[in-house]
Amino acid sequence: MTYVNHLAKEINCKIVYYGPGLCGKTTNLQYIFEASKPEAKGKMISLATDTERTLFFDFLPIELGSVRGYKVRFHLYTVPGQVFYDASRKLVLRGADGLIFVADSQSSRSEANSESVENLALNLAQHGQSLADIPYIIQYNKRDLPEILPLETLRADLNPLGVPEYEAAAKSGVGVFETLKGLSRLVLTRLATSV
Amino acid sequence: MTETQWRVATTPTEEARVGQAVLSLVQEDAERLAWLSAGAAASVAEVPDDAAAASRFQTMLELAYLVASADGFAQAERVSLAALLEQITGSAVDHATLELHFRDLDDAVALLGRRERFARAAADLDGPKQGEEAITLVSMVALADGHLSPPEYEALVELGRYTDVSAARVRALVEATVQRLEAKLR
Repeated sequence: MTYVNHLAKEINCKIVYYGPGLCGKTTNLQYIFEASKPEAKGKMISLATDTERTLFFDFLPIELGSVRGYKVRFHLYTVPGQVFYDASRKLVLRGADGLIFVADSQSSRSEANSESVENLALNLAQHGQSLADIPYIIQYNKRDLPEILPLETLRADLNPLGVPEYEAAAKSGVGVFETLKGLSRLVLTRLATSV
Repeated sequence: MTETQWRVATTPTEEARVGQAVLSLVQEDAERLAWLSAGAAASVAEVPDDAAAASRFQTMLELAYLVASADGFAQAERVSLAALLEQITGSAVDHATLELHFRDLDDAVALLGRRERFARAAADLDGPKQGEEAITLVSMVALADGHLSPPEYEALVELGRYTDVSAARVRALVEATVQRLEAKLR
C-alpha cells in the first residue's frame, strides 16, 4: 500500500522485519541505520507502551534513483518477536509493501522460527493478505554461530513458497544489505508495474 | 486534563473573524513568517534551493495535520485549514496543493501509523526551542475554527512529550495563544 507524498515528490514504501525474539531484526535495522548517509535518513525511533513496542526509521536509498521523477523512501519497521507483543506485530503489518522474515539459524531456535512464520501468516491473513501476495523474502541469520541448522533444513521448514533467501550474520553486517536489496528489487518491480 | 477545551470565539461574528485573527497573529512574528514562506516556496519548487527549509515547512504541515485531525478531519475543516495555510505562506502553496497533501497524509497515517508519524515528524524538530515554536504555531492553526478540543490538546501534549516540552509548558503556551487570539477578537 505504497503512499505518495506529492509535495516532497516521494514514493513511500513500508518494509517490515519479522521473526522470532532475538533473531536479529533490530540488529539488521541498526546496521542499515548506521551505514546510511546522515542526510538521507531520519532518526531511529523507538515507540513503547506497556504492551506495544515498535522500532523504525526511514531513508532514501540514493542508489535506487527515482521512479517517474519521484524519489523512493523506505520506512523500515520492526516489532519484538516475543509472544507478549502480538498486538504490535499485527498492527505493524498493516500497509506493508514488503516483508523480510529473519530466521535464527541456531538449531535450538527451530521451533521458534516455525511458530513465528505461522504467526506471520496468521497476522497477515487478518489484514486480508497472504505471503504469496506480497514481496517477501527470508534471511537466515546467525550463520556465523556454532550449532546452526543446514540451509536445506531451514529451507524445508520455513520456505515452502520458495521465495528468495539470504544468509546473514547481521551483527557483523554480513548479508544485511544483500537482504534489503533483494526485497527492494521485488518492491520496486511491483511499484513499477502499478505506477 | 483530558476534558480541557478552549473556545476563543463565542459569537457567530467572532467565529467568522477567528481565521483572520490567527493569520494576523502568525504574521506578527517576522522570523516565523520568513521561514514559513521560504519553506513553502522551496517545497513547491521544481528543484528546491533550500531543502532544509522545505523539510521544516513540511514537518510543520504534518504536525498541524496530525493535531487538527486528532478529533476527526471533516472536509470543511480541510478546506478552511488549507485556505488559512495558503494565506500564511503568502500563496506560495495554493490551497488545492495543500488539500492534496492532506490526502497524502491520510495515507501516511493509514500506512505507517498515527503515533509513528507523530513521533517521526517531531523527531525532525531540533530540541525544546523548536518544539515550543511548533506547539505555538500548531495551536494557532488548530484554534482557527474557534476552539481547541480535548483530543487536539492531548495531541499538543504528545508533541511536547516528543520534544522535551513539559505538559505544564504546553498548557502555558496554549493559554498564551488563546489570550492573544481573544485580544485580537475583542
